[in-house]
Amino acid sequence: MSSTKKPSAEAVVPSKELMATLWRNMNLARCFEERVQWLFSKGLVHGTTHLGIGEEATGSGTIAALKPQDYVFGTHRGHGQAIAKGIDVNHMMAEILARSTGVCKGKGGSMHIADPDIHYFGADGILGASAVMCVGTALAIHKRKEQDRISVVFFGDGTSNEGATWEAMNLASIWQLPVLFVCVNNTYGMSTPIADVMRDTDISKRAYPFDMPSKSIDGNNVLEVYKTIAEARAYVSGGNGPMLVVENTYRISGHSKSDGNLYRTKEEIAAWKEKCPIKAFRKYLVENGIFTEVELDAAAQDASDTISAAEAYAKSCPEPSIDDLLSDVYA
Amino acid sequence: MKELTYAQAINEAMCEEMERDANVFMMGEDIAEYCGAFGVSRGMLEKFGKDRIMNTPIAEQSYVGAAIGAAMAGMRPIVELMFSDFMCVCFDELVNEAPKMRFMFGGKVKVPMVMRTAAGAGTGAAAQHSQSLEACLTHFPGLKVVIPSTPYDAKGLLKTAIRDDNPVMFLEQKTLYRTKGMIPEEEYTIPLGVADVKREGSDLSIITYGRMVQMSLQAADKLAEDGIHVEVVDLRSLLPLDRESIIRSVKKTHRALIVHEAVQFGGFGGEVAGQIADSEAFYYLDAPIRRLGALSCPIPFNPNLERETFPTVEKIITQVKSLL
Amino acid sequence: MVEVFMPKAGMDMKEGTLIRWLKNVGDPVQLDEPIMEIETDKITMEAEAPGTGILLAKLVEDGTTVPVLQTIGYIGKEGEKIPDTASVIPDTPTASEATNAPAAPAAPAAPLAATPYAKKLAQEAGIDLADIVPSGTAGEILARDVEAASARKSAKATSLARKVAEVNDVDLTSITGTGFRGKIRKDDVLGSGAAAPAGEPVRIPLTPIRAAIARNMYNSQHSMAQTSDSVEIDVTDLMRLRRSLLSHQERLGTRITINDLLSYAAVKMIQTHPLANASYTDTEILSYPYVNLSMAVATDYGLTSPVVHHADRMSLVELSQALRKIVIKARERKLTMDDQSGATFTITNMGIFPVDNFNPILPSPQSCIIGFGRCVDKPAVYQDEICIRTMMVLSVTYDHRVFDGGEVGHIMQTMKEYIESPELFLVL
Repeated sequence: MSSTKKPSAEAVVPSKELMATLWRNMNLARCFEERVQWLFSKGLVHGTTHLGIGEEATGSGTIAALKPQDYVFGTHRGHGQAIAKGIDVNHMMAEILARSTGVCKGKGGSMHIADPDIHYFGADGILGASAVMCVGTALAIHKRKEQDRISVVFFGDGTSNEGATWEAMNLASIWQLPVLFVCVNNTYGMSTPIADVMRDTDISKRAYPFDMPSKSIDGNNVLEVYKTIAEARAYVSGGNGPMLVVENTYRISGHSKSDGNLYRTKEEIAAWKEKCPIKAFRKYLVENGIFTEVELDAAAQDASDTISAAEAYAKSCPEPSIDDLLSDVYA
Repeated sequence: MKELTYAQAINEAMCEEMERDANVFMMGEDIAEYCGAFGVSRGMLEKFGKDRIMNTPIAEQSYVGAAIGAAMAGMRPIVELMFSDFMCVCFDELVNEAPKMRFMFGGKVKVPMVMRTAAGAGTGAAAQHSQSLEACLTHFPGLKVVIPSTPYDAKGLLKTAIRDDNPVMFLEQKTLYRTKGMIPEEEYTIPLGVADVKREGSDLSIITYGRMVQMSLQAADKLAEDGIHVEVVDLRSLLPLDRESIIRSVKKTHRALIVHEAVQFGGFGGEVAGQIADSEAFYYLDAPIRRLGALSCPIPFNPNLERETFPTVEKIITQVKSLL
Repeated sequence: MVEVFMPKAGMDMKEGTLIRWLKNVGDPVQLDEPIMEIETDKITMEAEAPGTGILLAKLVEDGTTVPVLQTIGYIGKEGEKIPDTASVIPDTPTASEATNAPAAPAAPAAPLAATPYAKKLAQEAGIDLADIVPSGTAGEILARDVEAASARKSAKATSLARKVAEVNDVDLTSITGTGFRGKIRKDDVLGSGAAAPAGEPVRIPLTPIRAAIARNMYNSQHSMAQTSDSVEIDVTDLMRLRRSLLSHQERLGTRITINDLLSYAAVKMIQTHPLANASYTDTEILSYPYVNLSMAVATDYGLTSPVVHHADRMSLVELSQALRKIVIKARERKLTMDDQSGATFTITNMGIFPVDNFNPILPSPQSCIIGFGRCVDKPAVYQDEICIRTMMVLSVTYDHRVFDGGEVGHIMQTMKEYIESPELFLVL
């Protein structure tokens, strides 16, 4: 079980412990994605998968600023979010390899990674749906008058165009529900650049009609992500209604494993590789004397080993039995 | 026993369940002060307050999606969709979200939500506000589909639906809201997946549900004058389906006529016919299995055209006699 | 190409009824393979194909009566054209397809369309679907058709009674039968009152046998000089003999009846009166050197006259056995053409009825028929005393063209003596 201790959100000045967690989670996420990429190329991953290499700061940074009781709706590109939320990577890998020990018993797959037990309501394959459902969980929080609990939904720039996303923001705002809308803007909706699908590419402005505060930040700066979300959470959980945070980042990996990257240039990809969030964070940590290169390497290696172990574990597990096929259709 | 209308029976079911369980609440368009498009939630705002009788914007995806989310987070929402035709606006929620969450997430979550909606024709509401779309809903494993035909059935079935831990589509019949029926004073529930033989007979089984139940019973009365005794089986639940009752009835009478208001082609009657044909009842059939539904056209506005689009008492009688 | 024709299956057969074809148009047939079932005035039998090939056409429908030798079909090579003059019965039209729902779908042109429940009932009742008359609007067999067939099948009735019931639209299940073991007879149907709606006469269809009997009886009366005599005979000693022989039936291997004894007496009488066993022709009288004894047997399908050939060569026991066999065959409708031809002398026994003397009609071309009435205990003079004796009237009808009253008087004399003193004919 990977350790994902989350510091209190009040500590907006991140502690060393928090930085270690962030470093570990980002590396776990990176290694996980690279390993899945590898396994896919070997034909071991059924179906398709959506990798978020390059977006690690958004998942790790955001969730580090949340609390365990918060409801989180991830994206189909959300392995990093799931890891940060605390899903056991062994069971995550098992799910991707369609094993019965997968976090969804092998019945969900990469696009539906979820663990409601730890309030991670998973990825949803229909874009926009998670936004409205997230608002529903916030409605429950509101009705039960729960203090210090919010609902968070991740969604991409493309999804911000879905009617359901707008409807969700509308409903959350009129009922003043504790929803934090987090838009991970990687500037491409599959293969379509953001400029082709919206007149004003500043997604944060989409909060205006709903009288919602919003922020647009560098999604590759994990500490900026952390700080912004921490403040946002304080706002939202204080009964002030919903908020929108746009985390601007870039997807190094293709949209999915069938992506031939014909819609962007090698130069663009190379340029963004330079802005890799893990590289940036390493630089920050070393330059500020928080950790040494050696320590960082060791932690990175440990993360890699953890993923290797997860792979070995998953491969050793059986597939679900046919007898199990019809279970969990009805409660 | 007391006499209530179909709408009152539904109201009573909701009130009882809301009193019983604080997690139950309602969402829908104009359900608070306006009491709902068909007046079903009369008096509930006063009883339960704005927090539990929540008006929503005209944004079906948002409040149906929110109902799903709230249900996953432990509440038991009842969401009222003004006209069942509007389910198409939030079809993703009904197809890809509500019935699949539990399965996709390894059984770790449940969606105890009820969607109540007014279905059916007969009010001149024309093509987009008069449909019966239950057939497609039965096609999504994970959903339950219930269609009551009497006040007694409506109350008992709705209470069970609210207590059910699965998403239940509760398809009310517009033209039945004002019909009256007797209801026990004491509390009662009716299980889902159990059909009700509304009238026993020996010559033919009419398998039906919703608005067509009363029509079939009227036809049965007329046929009895000619010495023809038909049995009327009210399915009440389409999913889960009471297959046993259907088979038992057809084995007894040797003839089956399935009557529903929905379009005949591609309608649920095909499923029932298939269930009969692929069962022991097949060997007891003394006539082809017949379905009677609406004609294949969008529902017209003109009242005579509208009436003729659907089964009528006369059409039912004709079909019954043709099978004897 | 070969013509299929109504075969002449009896010396005096004039016409036959095609009960049913056993093959369909287009079926291959082999020479001598049974191709149809026909009924003559005497029996029902199968008729064979006169050639090998494909049955090209049927000119006659099931149930039609045609003159003997009439062409009723053709066998030939596939695709061969039959003569234009032939009138072929039209093919059954194929059923039309249903057009729009919810109209009833037409049953397919293939026979035996039946609902699943009808099939189930038929199977349970052991009824062949081919024997059921369908009443479905699309020509299909429904459950009620099977139930009706089952009721009819279980309703025991003579075939004539069935026919009368069918023709007059009477439900057999509503009739009480007075025949053997409750079997429904024609008279039960006629007497039921169900067969006579509103003063209309009941129609009783003529079976071929009935028609043949009518024809034969009429012809016989109009072609011969028939006249009858009768005499009362004391059969007391004959009865005693019979009882004695009955007690020895195991040893003898047969139950000797009064009828056997009377028949045997008649055969012996013929030895000395050969003209009783003769035929008149326009040019001569034929006197037969053998006795083919015919006995009138009433069956539920009509009067039959099965023949025991060469009865003159048989002992009483043999004759008894032969007569028993032939009666059973007649009742079971298993008589062959041979069994019914070649009779030279006929016995008819009305003894079970309150009939004393009667004038049996003489079957052509025989010269003499003897009929026996009932045996009755009555006062008689015996050895000069009045006492109770068992008496029976013997009646004779003879062809006056063959012999005169005197000769017949001698015949009767002989019969009386033989019967009153059975030892006289037993030793012959």
